[in-house]
Amino acid sequence: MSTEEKTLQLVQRLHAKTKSGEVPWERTSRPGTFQAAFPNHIVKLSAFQNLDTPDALDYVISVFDESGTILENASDVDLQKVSPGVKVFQLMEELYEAARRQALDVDSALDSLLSELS
Amino acid sequence: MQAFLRGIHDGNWGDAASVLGVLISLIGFAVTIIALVRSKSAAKRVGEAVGAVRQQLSLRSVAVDLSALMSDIEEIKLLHRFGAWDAMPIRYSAIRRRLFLVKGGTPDLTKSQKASIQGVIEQFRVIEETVEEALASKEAPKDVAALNKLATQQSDKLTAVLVAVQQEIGAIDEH
Repeated sequence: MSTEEKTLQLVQRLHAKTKSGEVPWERTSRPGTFQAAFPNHIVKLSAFQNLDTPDALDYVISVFDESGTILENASDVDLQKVSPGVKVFQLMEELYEAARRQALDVDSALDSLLSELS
Repeated sequence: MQAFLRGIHDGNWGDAASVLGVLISLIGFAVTIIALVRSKSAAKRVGEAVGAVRQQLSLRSVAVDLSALMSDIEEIKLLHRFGAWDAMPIRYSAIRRRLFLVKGGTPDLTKSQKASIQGVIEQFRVIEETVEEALASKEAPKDVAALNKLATQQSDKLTAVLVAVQQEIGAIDEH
């Protein structure tokens, strides 16, 4: 299995575990970047403006070791090349949105607003 | 035993003495084995007690370190408000270094506690990068309130680890 295939597998697993609330995503001091910490590694998700189509976003997953050295970095475009059968952009967009909502505690904010307006 | 009694009855003292010798040897052997088993379990108990004390000392040391780190984070927030940016990178590095020591030197921490500490280390690494970039461009970081909010969240995560460590110390004390 190539590194890109393993990275895609990591994205798929994070997608599933994030949906079930098992990955602790948090915001960082970089706008648009969210991180999840594991005992010896950090995974970050970022959204960048696509250079060719400014209205569109590219999603990037990065893996760091415990000292902050970047080990792997891949965009949805990179991962799509190795797995044409998987909808990588959609997968990473959903993962990014779920991570963002969890990190910013969007649900609590909406619950609070709904209760104030009831 | 019958051979022993027969030996005495027949006046054959030599045979009786050898049978008695064998009996005494067997009893002595049994006593030795019992003593050995007892000393082994006592040594095991001592070993367990030493292990518990060592674990408790290690956790107490972690609790002291975490409390000091939380107080340093409060100081960092104050320095952010004062705009003492030149003095900040060295403080972020110091916090990260000490957190590395806590994480690496405490095998008793759970996976989730280690992950939490690793997350704090990474957050301070990125904060350091953000401040270094601002210093390089001779500007102050733009959103001090957001930086302090992030610092507070890191302190909260360390508080959660500290509470768990103190509960663990309490559990060891009860034993």
